[in-house]
Amino acid sequence: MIRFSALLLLLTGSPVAWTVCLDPGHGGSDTGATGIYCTEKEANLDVAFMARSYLEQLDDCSEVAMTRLADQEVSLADRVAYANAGGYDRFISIHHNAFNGSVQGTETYCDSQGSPEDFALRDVTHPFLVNAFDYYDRGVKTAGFYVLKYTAMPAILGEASFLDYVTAWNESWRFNTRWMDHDGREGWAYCAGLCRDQSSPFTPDWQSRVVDNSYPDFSTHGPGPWSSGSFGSPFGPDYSWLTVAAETDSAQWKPYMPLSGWYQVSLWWVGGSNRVTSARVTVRHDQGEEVFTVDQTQGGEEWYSLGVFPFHEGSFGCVIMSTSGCQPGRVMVADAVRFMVSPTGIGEAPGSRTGPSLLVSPNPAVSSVIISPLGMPGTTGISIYDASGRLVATLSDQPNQEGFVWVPDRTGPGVYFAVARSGETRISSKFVVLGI
Amino acid sequence: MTGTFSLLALVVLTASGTIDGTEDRLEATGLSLAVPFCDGVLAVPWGYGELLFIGPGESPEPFPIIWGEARPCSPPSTSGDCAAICLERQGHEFILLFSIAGESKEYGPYLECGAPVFDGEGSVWFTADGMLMVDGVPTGHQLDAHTISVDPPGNIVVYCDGDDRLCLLETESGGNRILSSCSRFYAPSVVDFGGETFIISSTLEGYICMTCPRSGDSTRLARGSHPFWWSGGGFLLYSVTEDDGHNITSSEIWAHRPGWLPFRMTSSPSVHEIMPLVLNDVLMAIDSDTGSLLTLPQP
Repeated sequence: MIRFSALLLLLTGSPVAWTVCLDPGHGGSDTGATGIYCTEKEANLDVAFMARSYLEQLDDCSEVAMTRLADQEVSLADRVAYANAGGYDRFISIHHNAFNGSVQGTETYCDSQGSPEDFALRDVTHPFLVNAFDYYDRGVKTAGFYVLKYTAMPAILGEASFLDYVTAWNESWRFNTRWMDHDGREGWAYCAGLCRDQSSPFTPDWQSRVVDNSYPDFSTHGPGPWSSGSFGSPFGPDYSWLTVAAETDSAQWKPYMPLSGWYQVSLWWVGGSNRVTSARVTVRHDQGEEVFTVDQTQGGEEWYSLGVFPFHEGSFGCVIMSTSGCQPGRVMVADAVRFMVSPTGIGEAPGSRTGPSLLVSPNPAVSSVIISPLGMPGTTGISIYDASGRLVATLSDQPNQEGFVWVPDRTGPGVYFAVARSGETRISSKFVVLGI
Repeated sequence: MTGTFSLLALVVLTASGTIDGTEDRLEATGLSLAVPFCDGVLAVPWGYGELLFIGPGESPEPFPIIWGEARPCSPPSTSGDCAAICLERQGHEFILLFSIAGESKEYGPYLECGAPVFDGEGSVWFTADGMLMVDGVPTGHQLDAHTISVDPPGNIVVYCDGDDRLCLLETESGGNRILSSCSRFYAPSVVDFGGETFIISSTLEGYICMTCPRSGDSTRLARGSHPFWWSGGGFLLYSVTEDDGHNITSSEIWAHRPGWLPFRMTSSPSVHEIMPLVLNDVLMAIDSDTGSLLTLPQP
């Protein structure tokens, strides 16, 4: 779909619009590579959604298609024929590697008989993929993969990391828990590579997160029914809507926040004369919640800021739009919410979280863990408990520069709790030890 | 929407020799998109680099169109001795109309163009910047779709929307409706079967579907891809490929007539993908790696 902003580009002589087809590899019964905590098909789809969320923020990227949107089997022939029929400008196939658990690194492929544009796309994207994780650079490569050979447009295939890597940390755990915005970093890397390839001036800030109504982080609750519509300029391909009948319907955007900090929360809807005049929008953040009333008969089709709020790392905060108090028979639109890092800076922990914390790294761990009490001067030792509550270790030696070191050589794999005490303050943190 | 018209050098394409077992290999790259054209095949190689013509018994050769800095960015479409293709030049897109004799005409420039298609009268239909165009003239109908198909009289246009739903636009009334959303459809094509109009389309679920444009009822005809409707014989030809997640492991061509059991026409002697097409009522398979044409037995 050509977005209005893309048409504006033509009128203003700005950069030409471009389109891309993302191809999350494998799916259905074809799991691809296997890690302990997730399979390749899951990681590929996560990264594709992340890449799409960044690409859809670009003014000059007019369409982002995906060969699969769920855990389903799609043949290579269909993936390629779909992309060729859509006439996309670029094709990105997203994959992850596996070997023997001890190899890690990033590699990016294009067809060995590809055009100069294939090689150019590969060469500009690869450094971004390498930088996403800072793993070993295994280099740019060529291969005769089907999706690279038979796509009519320039195409690349990324193998950003080895999912089965467990030697120093567990890569599949990082994907499964979205550790430090793991899949977001990789999704952004593909977006940045495409921007560089297309000479786009619009590379998005990678700390900005948009949750569209088509994403897994969006959900609806209540009797509904919700439908999809594409009138006007929705964010992404469409928006969700319902005709108000009950006061108990709601839509929820619940993102994973990569880091604690202050975020500007903005709402996108498509307005119309039949819309609700008092959509009840609640922002649940780290210090409570705030309620707003949004008149959807006015404005829309652009970001409407609700304010700046503190969010803690993880999926703790959300935005909820409910029909409570809305006039029956009118239409409520739920489209997208953007969480953009506030200029006050990421990494500045919100007020309620500025207290002490206990950082355990790596988590999961294999051979040793470093336990670092933060904001707890005077910590004299760490107690380690297993999942049954049994004390298994006490660390009272002087910590090194990074923290207290524990080698779980006698306790075996499992879930453990580290507890630090300083005066009246007691804080704990859960971590996992894997088998070697 | 100004078009330019220029005459290019006359091109003579000889048609001689047998097409059975042709094993001409492309030097650098294989074929992504191939359609019958006169007594040969027009094809876009991997990477949209150029446009090739494969004559009967001949090696693939670049089709002698003066591109300038342009490059193809859609499958070609053909009607008689005319063909059309979308091309990109200096950041803008155009529709190029050309003949086997080398005459050419351009529509554009546009921000984004869809793949052109011909109706039964030889008019070329395409989308450009969100509008449906006929012979370079806006119809007044908004349409955001890259791939469209039109029935011979130009009464209906079928396409897939941004959610991959199968949709239909009635050109007379401007009525626009979703025909089916039961699959993720792509590459729809309007076909005639026994005097009735139907829509054949592929789906990302791996099926080829036949949809009634009036009721929207959709039937899964076969599991496969690259459907080619041979209206002369009333057959659907299609590819059936197996893969291991990275590469093709087998490729076959099957035929199916509604109401009959599907039957296998041929399999690839190598692990190259083969796609069906019909040239002058002769059933053929094109090897998309080598560009070679193989004659298939009549069903």
